Amino acid sequence: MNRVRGFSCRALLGTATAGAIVALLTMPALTQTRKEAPKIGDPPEALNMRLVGHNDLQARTAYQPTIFKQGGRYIAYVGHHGGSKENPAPRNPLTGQDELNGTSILDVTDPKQPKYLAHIPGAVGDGEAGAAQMTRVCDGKTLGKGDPNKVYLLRAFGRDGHEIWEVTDPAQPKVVWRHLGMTDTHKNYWECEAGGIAYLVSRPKGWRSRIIEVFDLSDPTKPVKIRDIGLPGQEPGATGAVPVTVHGLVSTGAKGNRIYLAYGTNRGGLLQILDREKLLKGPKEPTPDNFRYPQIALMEMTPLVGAHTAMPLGRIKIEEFSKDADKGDREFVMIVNETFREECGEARQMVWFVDTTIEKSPMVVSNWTVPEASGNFCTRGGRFGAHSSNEDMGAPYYQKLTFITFFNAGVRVLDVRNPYQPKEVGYFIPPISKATVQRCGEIGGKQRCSNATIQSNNAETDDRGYIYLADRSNTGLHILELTGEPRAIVGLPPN
Amino acid sequence: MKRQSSALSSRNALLSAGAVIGLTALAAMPASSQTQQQVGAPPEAKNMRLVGYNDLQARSAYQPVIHRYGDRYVAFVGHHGGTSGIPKPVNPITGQAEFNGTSVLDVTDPKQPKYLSHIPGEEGMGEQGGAQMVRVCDGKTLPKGDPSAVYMLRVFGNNAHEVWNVSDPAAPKRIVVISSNLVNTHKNWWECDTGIAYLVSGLKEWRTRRMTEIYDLSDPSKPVKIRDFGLVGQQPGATGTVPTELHGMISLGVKENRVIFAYGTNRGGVVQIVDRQKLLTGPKEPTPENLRAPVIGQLEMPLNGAHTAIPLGKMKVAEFAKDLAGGTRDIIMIVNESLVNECQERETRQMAFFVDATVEARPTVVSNFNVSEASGNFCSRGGRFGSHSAQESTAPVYHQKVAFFTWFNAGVRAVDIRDPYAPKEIGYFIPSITEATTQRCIKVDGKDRCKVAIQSNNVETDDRGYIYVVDRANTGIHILELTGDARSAAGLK
Repeated sequence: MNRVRGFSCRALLGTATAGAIVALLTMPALTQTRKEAPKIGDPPEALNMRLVGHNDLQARTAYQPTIFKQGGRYIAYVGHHGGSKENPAPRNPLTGQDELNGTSILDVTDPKQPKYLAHIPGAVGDGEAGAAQMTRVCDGKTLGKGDPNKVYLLRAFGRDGHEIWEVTDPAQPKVVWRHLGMTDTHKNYWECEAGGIAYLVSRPKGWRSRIIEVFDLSDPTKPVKIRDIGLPGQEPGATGAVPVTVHGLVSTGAKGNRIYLAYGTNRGGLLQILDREKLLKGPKEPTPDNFRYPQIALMEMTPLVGAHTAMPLGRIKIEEFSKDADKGDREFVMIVNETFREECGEARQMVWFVDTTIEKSPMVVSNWTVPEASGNFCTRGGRFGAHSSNEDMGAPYYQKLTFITFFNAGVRVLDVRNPYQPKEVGYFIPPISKATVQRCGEIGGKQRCSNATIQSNNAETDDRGYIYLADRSNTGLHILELTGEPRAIVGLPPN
Repeated sequence: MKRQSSALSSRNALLSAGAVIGLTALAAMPASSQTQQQVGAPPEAKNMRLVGYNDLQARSAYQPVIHRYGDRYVAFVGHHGGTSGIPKPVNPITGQAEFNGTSVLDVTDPKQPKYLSHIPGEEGMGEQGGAQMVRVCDGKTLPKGDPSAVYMLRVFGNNAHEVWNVSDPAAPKRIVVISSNLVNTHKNWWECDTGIAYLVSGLKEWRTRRMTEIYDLSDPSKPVKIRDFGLVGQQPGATGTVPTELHGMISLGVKENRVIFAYGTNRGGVVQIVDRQKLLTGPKEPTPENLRAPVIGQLEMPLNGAHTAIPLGKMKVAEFAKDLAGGTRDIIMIVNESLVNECQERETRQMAFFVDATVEARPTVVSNFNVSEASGNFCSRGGRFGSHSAQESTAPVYHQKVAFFTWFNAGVRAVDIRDPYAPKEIGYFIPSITEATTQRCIKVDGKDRCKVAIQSNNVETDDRGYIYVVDRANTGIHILELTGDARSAAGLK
């Protein structure tokens, strides 16, 4: 890898120099995507997006960022995958200790100067085998029975289970509850409203697959199990082929009364829509009939793709259909597939829009992918394809713009005001740094490593319009803002 | 309707083939935001132009089929029934008033289509009469046909299916009535190499207006019934809700061994991928089990119907070329049918959808094509706005490259489908209206409020690349060609 003068390893790993990096990275960005693999020192590739701030996250591989407003501050909770064989427990400069990857907590009130507050170590294990990749945060005062003065973090603990931490002082997290003994833990969901219903994704003992444990976490200090739910054939004692496993879910809470579940990651994708009330109040024994009872729809996708995230977009009035008898009043779910393989070693994983106006019979109506040739992404190194989207359901972006992470193609901004014709209106591919790691493993049938490239993993947005982008290949957290056309679409003032 | 002072306002001029040159001389215009077409105004077009025209005796037209007789190209055009104003237009060739049936034209010279004959159809207005559907096969490809003969399969109104000998297209002779006393008929399919015909019929004992009767027409003079087919719940004796009625089907024949059935027009669409061999040789009794046995995959589209499901076959998708898997996809194109005027009456936008059927058991819609309403204020122009049909020719000139969709008042749209995940419009042609164009009405405050607009109904292409678009609102047949960028998408010079 080329060394660039004045852009040393230490400068990149030290939070103190974040400002200097920002100054460098916000130089007039190339508005075009390059055709070759990026090098250290290259500026970001961007269209209608620019870098506001950066933190290296102690060079830990990052998965889910959650942005939470507490005490007048904006706090980012970033879940991590496990470390690498070479560096299983990176140094936390705050404690001076080597710590297994877990959860990074940052004050992002000033997005130009994100301040690293704390690291909560996670489980033993490299990559997806360890750490604490998932985070969700709720306020005690919205949960009903929680201490109204406290803030709680629900996180995955490696593959083993789930934990609740009290993060009222985000610099001093304290563990509240540990629910371990499972395997295959993944993308949880926690409704922050009264009832505190949490959907914990893991494989409890005896089950044939990863499923969902439903808990009442309205008092996070006294969790109450409600039930388990999976697909018929996943329950203990079932026989035959095990159906595809759940990846994650999003609930619209008591008011929306729907839960959208995504099954499969890079193949055999399914979208399931559940009636939330029937799930919570229906018969709880893990039988196929009881699994089917709350089900409104189960939509199969072409098995060439999976479903990482099923994100409800809600009712959208489509201008194009405004003169039609239905006034263009439709309901949508967006499905994001997850790319697993480096260098395009599978069918393209992408984004799909599903018309769920007739809920019992959801239908995919459109798709979106980054054009591969626009950056020769299949040969740049690492994974190329979709992974995740922002999940914030508030202003300024909901139902207008969505942010899709596309691994080595960075984060892409889609105009979804007409989900029949999603349109890219911006993108940002962060520059790599000394911390950026190569992706190694079986690539194209051989054990080898591919180029170090950005692997934009997950993204989240806040109500100010900032976009938080976490990198799987250790480059840290990039805080972005929109410029130009997409900014105007959501009515943010020109910058 | 506002009268123009141009020579084109003369009905006689328009109805004569000689006016074609006049029509082509008018410069085509881009689609405008005008709210109504005017007689005498030039066509609206992009990358398409008019080559030739025939008025089809001002009969409302449905299916055009272009058949080659050696070096000769003959167009067979099925008609809907007449209008209350003119239920039985005069055929100038015979001098007789004839119920709308089938028009037969020599289109060898597309600039000068020559009307050869009209075969009258059943009495009845609009979809109640006429002979809207037509398919043509050569005797020499049919296993037991007369090798010197050419045969036409058509519907006779809603009542029957017929086979005609059209060896001399100027003098068709009826050979046989296959099935009669039907409740309904519609968009048939006929395999010209085996003679197997899939007839859209309505048998009285079935619970739906339209289902499939399968016949062996390998000897067109001796039809042999094979079986009946439909969705489970449509068969005689079933109970409960009746599933969506059939619209049409396309068979891929012996080698591919698939028949794609399309159900529904503007809602409740169902597309079935069926194993042809199992369909033809499986147990024939219409029991739920036997109706399910040949079905490989099924797709539902609640807000849209499936007028036509066209198997495009395996397509190499350039965007996926570097992916280790999925570089070649098996694609089915679905065209919905808009049924209502001026975007009214509970109808959602009817459009075109592309289905990835690479894994046949799990076909998934992946993309759609739609015409922008605002590009021509089509919801308020009059008549239907929305998709209806596409060409079914698999001639190499356009197959897997360019699809032509009829869109009623938005004319015919040329769409680059080389990447079926991202179909892209490359041209369009909205024919001019004439004095023959009939009006379409909606109720406003309980009274009819009528407008006149082109209603491009069905389209077909030939192996030379000519595009034949026919009008439901009696304006005739327009023969078109691609120009400019659109020609390069098809590899035309």
